Amino acid sequence: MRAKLIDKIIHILLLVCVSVSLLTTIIVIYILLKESFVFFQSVSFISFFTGTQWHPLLLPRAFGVLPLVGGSLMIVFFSIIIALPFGLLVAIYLNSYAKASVCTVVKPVLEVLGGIPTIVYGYFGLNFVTPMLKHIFPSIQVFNALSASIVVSMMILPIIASLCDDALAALPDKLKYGGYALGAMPSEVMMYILLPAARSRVGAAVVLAMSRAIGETMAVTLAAGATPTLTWNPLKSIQTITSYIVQISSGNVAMGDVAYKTLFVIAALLFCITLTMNMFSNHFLIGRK
Amino acid sequence: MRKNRGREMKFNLLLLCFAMLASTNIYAKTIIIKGSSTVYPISEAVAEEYGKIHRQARVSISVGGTGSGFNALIHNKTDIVNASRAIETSEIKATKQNGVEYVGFAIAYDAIVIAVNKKNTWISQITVDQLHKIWASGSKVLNWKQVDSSLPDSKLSLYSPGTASGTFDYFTHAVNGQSGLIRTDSTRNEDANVLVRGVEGNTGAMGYFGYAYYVNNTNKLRALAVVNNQGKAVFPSQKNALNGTYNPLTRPLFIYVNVKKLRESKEVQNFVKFYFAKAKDLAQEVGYFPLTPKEKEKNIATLRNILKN
Repeated sequence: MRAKLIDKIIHILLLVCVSVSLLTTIIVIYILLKESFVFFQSVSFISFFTGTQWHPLLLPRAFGVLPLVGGSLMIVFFSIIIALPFGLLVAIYLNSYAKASVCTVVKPVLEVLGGIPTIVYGYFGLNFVTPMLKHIFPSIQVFNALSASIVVSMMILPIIASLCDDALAALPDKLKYGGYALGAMPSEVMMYILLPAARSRVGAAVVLAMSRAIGETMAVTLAAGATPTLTWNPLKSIQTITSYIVQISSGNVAMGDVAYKTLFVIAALLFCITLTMNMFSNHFLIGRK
Repeated sequence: MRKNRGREMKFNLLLLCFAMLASTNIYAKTIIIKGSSTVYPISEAVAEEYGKIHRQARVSISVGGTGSGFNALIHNKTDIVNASRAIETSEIKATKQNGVEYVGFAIAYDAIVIAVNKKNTWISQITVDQLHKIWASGSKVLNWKQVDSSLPDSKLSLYSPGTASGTFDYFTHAVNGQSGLIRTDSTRNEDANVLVRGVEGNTGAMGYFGYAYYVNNTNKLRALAVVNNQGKAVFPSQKNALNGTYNPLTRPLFIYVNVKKLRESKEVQNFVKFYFAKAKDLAQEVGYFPLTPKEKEKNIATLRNILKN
């Protein structure tokens, strides 16, 4: 009798925990949507999503979000371009070529790389990467998208490397041995058999890394700058969605002011982008295996 | 096993209560200062000296721009505001609405420096009209050649304090005629250290900030002389700021104190008195310019009157 009662209590307790996390998500979404709704009563939908100028605090005010979205996407794009090849190569090395002793050293070191506080990466980009880049591109600005992308790529490298390594390790051995039996070299086995077989999981890893990169805040705030500009040039200073949120939260914005509402709309936008990416990555994983 | 658990729990609870009491006690003594990045070095120096004498005192200073400091004052979230401009009418109205009483004291003078990169050898003085041409809202000046045809073809990059900064308000008012009007493609940040970083890193850069941030970085930056209302080009310095020839970019720096906290808290009273006593030496040490003895006396008299009531 008593055992049944304890079981029921535990059941209820777990239900409470689940509902707390569900409730938090619902409340967050509700607050974001409510404030965004109020915002769109003073700013037109179209001018928000298609405008190319973003200065909500300076007169004359402009609320075109494209510069911020462009800035975030540029960081994601360049950091993936750098981190994906490197990450894949590291994963391939750890999976096929490295001795067990090397693996046991390299894997924890990779985890450390991913565990360094992001603000440290920001200062690293500002103090080390940018002066180095100045030797190659003399016209580069002090705050620029390229050095921010480089440090962000260092941050997402462990994600890609360890997820791809797990993806390759999860493949059945018979694929590998079948290839060897046919006389293929390890590199051929990797390129023509293993990687194609693991491509859904590699895709999921890339999307996960992308959502990490787009949500990256402190590193881009320090290294990329605070000028919302719509540009394809990574040598210029830009502003991402996340660093705009930092700028507004740490400055002077009166509550109720339209500029204060931009915080919620921007946060809602970021939420939607990240949600879309997560759904995409789930589709990759579920759709295949 | 079960018996010890009970005792442990009671001990933990006691420890927790003690810790909570102790922490609230310490917090009650903390003096909170918020606001200007320009005034920050002075307040920080005063707080440091104050801490050497009063070992129990805790002073917490944060930077968010003069505007954000006043915002905190309006919502009763700070004891003292570092301000590089006087309080605005909209802010005065808000304090009345919230029933917050305040008093402002000038504590030093500052000269806003127009700083350029050390490698910039082609210009040594600038007029207010040229500044307006560069910094005006909607300005398309992207190159030094557009400022004056005698200057070389070099890209211009601009660094300015953010919209919450008192320096921003003062500069835009003096140069663009209205506080808050500035071109949108300038790099803006409330922290002057970031601006120094920006100007030192780009050859064609120009930035403006408080004198202390220039005088502590003379190895990385160069100051331009500004042509004043008499037509003379004047470099920023203590002499030129105090005798009025470096205009229009000389201005007083203030602290605004919450009167209720001033009357209730002995710590805040002692701190403000200490501030007046030390402001002359520490302001100069940090890189700003001192008040005249008469102005200092006026501050002390105002404080005395407030405390008497």
